[in-house]
Amino acid sequence: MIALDHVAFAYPGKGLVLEDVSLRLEPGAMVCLFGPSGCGKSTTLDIVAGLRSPRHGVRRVDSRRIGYAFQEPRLLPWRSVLDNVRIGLTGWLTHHEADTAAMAWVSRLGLGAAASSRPAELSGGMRRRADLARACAVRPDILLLDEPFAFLDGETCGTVAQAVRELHGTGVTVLMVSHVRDWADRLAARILEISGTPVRL
Amino acid sequence: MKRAAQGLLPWLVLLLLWAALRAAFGEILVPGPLRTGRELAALVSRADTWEHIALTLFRGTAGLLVGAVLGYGLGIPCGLSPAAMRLVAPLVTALQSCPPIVWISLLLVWAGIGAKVPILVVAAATFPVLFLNIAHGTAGLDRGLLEMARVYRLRPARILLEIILPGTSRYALAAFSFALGVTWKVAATAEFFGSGTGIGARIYWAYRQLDMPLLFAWTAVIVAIGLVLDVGVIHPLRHGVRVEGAGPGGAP
Repeated sequence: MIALDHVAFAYPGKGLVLEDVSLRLEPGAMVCLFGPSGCGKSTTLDIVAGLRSPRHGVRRVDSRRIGYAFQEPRLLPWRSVLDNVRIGLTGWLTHHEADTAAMAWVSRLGLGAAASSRPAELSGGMRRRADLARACAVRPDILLLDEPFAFLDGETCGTVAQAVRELHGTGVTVLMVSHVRDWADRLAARILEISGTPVRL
Repeated sequence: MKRAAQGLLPWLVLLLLWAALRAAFGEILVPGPLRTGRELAALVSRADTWEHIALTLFRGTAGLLVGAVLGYGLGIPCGLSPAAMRLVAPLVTALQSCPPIVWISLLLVWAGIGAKVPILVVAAATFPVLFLNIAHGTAGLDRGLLEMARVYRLRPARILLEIILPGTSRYALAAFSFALGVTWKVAATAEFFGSGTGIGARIYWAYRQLDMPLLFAWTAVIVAIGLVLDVGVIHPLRHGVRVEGAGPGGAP
């Protein structure tokens, strides 16, 4: 369950990004925050992920494990794609289980041939998929997706959408942000539209 | 062939200069290359010479390890916390400006003559450069990677091994290549004043006896060690810095 109650947030030395955001996602919900670039959507995801603390308001997130596909893929440049996906699995899966789960998602998102490549050797779209593969591979109960369809071609968008749909079908709560409504509509996500900053929702 | 000749040229110039100095000041003050060569041959054929060399290298390495442990131990927290950096960095910079002779004097009083002095002096001489490089390397890490580690609940040891150490490797290699260059020189200097064993102590002994051929032979040993370390360790490390530059710095 995700609950934000009257959350306000500002980056140090800057004005409010979020002024009064209240949001509630029951387990298994799929919601898309839709709005123009720079309006605070990613900040909202960061707060849900626990990476930013609200200045005011309350954040409550009941989660066993969060998967987060970042807007800018956060991959270790000195590690292969497979290692990057596996990093979220170490410590709670055996080495073999982690390998199998990581490779399954790497292949699933069309990166099988690039599994041993380093991020610098990949295109922007491939890096985004590697980041998404890690988010999916950790068997999350909450999946946060920041612009998951940006810079991907139509076919790859379909692959990503299918993966998200399947995870959602297993009861995973999905909160995504997008400035393109098309794919959010196709996934039948509940759309919360944001307009103007600071955000009131 | 031409490159080999070019490589030999500086040594030839050195030998000529040396022979000229010998001619100018006489054999007693400046033993010539041949006399020194004979003394050196006698020196390296003695087992205790190698024991002294090994002792100096061991003390240098031990001191460097202490400096590295302190450099990483303080540099990483300071790199992660600007407040800690503001507190510690000026003190380390002040430490860096202390010449080794200050440490040698103080440690001779505090710890007495023995192996502790060269080890601790090397640690004090190498710690600042290691600390400053590790701290700045850590401060320059991609914060997004550390946030990723938080989301996926990576343990501190894993964050250290997977993110911090590789991410600071360029800085660490540069610092180590510099620190290695000063380590054995500082160790020998500390032994000169504060130890009965090691290369520095043998140089002190030759100086007290005014045994100039022996002094020159030990100097040749020091120069040889320096060259071996430079070619065998420092040069590859610097090459590693250039190679690694395409790694962490080459993040997409």
